[in-house]
Amino acid sequence: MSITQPSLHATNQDLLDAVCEVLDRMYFAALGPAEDAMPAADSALICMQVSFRGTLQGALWMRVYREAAMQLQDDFTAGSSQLALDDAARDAVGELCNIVCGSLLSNLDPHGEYRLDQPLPDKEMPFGGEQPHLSCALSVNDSLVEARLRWSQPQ
Amino acid sequence: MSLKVLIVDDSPLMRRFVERVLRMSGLELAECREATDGLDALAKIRESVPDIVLTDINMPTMDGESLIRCISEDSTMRDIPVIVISTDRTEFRMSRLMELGAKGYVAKPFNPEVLRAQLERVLGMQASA
Repeated sequence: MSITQPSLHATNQDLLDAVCEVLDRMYFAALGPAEDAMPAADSALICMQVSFRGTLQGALWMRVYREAAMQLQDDFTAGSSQLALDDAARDAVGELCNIVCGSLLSNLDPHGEYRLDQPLPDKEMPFGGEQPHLSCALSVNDSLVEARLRWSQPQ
Repeated sequence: MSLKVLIVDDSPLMRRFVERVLRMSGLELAECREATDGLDALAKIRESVPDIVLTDINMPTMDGESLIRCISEDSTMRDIPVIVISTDRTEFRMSRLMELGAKGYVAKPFNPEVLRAQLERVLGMQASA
């Protein structure tokens, strides 16, 4: 699927590449194609969203299984995080969201100007149920990770 | 050379990661302190002057741009080199940070070699074989 929006030309592959780059370089994760579909809802999933404002506005939403998020957190900090387990898992997904979003926007729109909000926990159906412009899923350390991006012109 | 480093980031995980990468890159650290935003960083610098500051940009209370401006305008701090670590690689942001006085820029995602190269360039250190 290829979506063209004003001022931002991007494909699902761009989003997938950004997620893979971050997970590979900073989380030292083993990556592969997603062989199963993620369920619509699962209490074991952590969902986080980072909103951005500037040349365009929108949000990147990601969800990761709690167990996989703990592994990512452990690999990210070499086990030195002093946060409680659930907080650490949420922070790991939030930081992942933040880095992917900033990196992707810089890649796609190097002349743009953006400001990212703090990552926040979100529902399992992002964007008020509206369809994302980009989405991808992949296997990370034998678990599944999903990302969706939606944007619009600032009002 | 043993380095005294101040890491400035509102994310505790990111601070842990940067310290981990510094240690992975083989640099000898005499001191590795942390600050949660620009204001906290200024207080920590006044307590003990670091050899280098590694800072994020997007932080609450006082962001990285304001921190770099404060360091550049303070006669007791302006010689401390600042390297920015950020996801934002847009031309606008990078040129603005360099104008304000940042000496280096490391774009996330990065690996240990990239951070080490920036530190060596900024500090004028000889790269080890």
